[in-house]
Amino acid sequence: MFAACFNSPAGAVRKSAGAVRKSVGAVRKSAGAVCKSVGAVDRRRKAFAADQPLLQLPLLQLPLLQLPFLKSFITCCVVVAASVSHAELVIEDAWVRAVPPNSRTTAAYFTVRNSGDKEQIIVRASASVAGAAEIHGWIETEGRKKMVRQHQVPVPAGAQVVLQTGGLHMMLFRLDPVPAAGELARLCVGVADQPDVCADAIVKMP
Amino acid sequence: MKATVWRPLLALLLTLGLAACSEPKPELPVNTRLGGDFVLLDQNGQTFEARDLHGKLSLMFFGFTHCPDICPATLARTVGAWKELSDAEREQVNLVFVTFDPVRDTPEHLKEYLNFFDPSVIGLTGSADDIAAMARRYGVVYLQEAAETGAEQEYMFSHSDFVYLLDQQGRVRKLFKSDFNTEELIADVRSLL
Repeated sequence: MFAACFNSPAGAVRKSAGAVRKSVGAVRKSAGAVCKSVGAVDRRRKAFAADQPLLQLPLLQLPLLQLPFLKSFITCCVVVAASVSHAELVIEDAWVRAVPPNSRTTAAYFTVRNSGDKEQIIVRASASVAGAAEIHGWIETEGRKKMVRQHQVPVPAGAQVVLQTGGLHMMLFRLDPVPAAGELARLCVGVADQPDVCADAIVKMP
Repeated sequence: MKATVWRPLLALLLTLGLAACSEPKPELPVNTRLGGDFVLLDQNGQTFEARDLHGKLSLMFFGFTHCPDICPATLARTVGAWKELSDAEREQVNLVFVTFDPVRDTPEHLKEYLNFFDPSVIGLTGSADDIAAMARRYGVVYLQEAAETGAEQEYMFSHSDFVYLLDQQGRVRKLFKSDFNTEELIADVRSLL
């Protein structure tokens, strides 16, 4: 519904509202179109940003849009959209370690950037090439390194979390089939009560 | 006056600097506390002993094939460093992967797994006792860890992650952390060739 509302000609209206601007990227994600980079989102925001107050836009001077019910509908869209808590997460630089054909597990690495103004906590992960995925970290004790599953991965507001070899990483289980180097895998992470944020990851030998 | 003071000092510094540059790198010491004999199985199911490595240098790493992160990363980096050697140098260096997960890492499984990195890699497995005995000699620490309820894998291992450089007599000459500097490793290998 939001997507339909925002894709209408009146979409330009809500983009001029400062409170709504921040949520544009996330609302689009909820409609299934995941933004792949913060830069792309920022460019869109700048392109649509307008300093005019909401109800003074030329678009609303059109006779059709003068209808009270339509104004109310547009306002409704804006208010509802602004009140949704959005996960402004973006996955960048994603890749999956190429492993032997008889492996059942591998690891994926990427950077998760939170462009929002609230901390987001990742609580689930998935991958198109794996039966299951979990985020793990390492702890070192008594000379041994041990993997520990991370049920929650906080991504502070305006910050990023890097998943890399020897640190946090996404474990992929039950590979079927085992992806070959050069192929793409779809990686997703999600916060509670929000749609997943996904990105394509190249499979490679580092 | 100033020139009188500085010229000899400059000459001394230059002399010391040149001496430092020309001084050969000290030989890697022999680690007398680690290493020793072992009898295991290779990826072809054949008995493999410590002496089968003698005559060449060896880069040896301990891990398990169900390890998704550090083990394949270290294996790939070690093989990558080995491939930076010349053909003649590679002929003189063994690559060895020892598993401490003999239940899942059978010779057949190891063979297919290691072929992916390079068919030259020697894979060693065996009985749990034989592997444990070897690990003790080499100072490798590992522990089978039960996974938490609902986890994807039945068990994992926590383990140390050193790459061992053995000389032509099988003596331990250096340990590298898994995030080793490739240039340093290559230089140390070449120092023993």
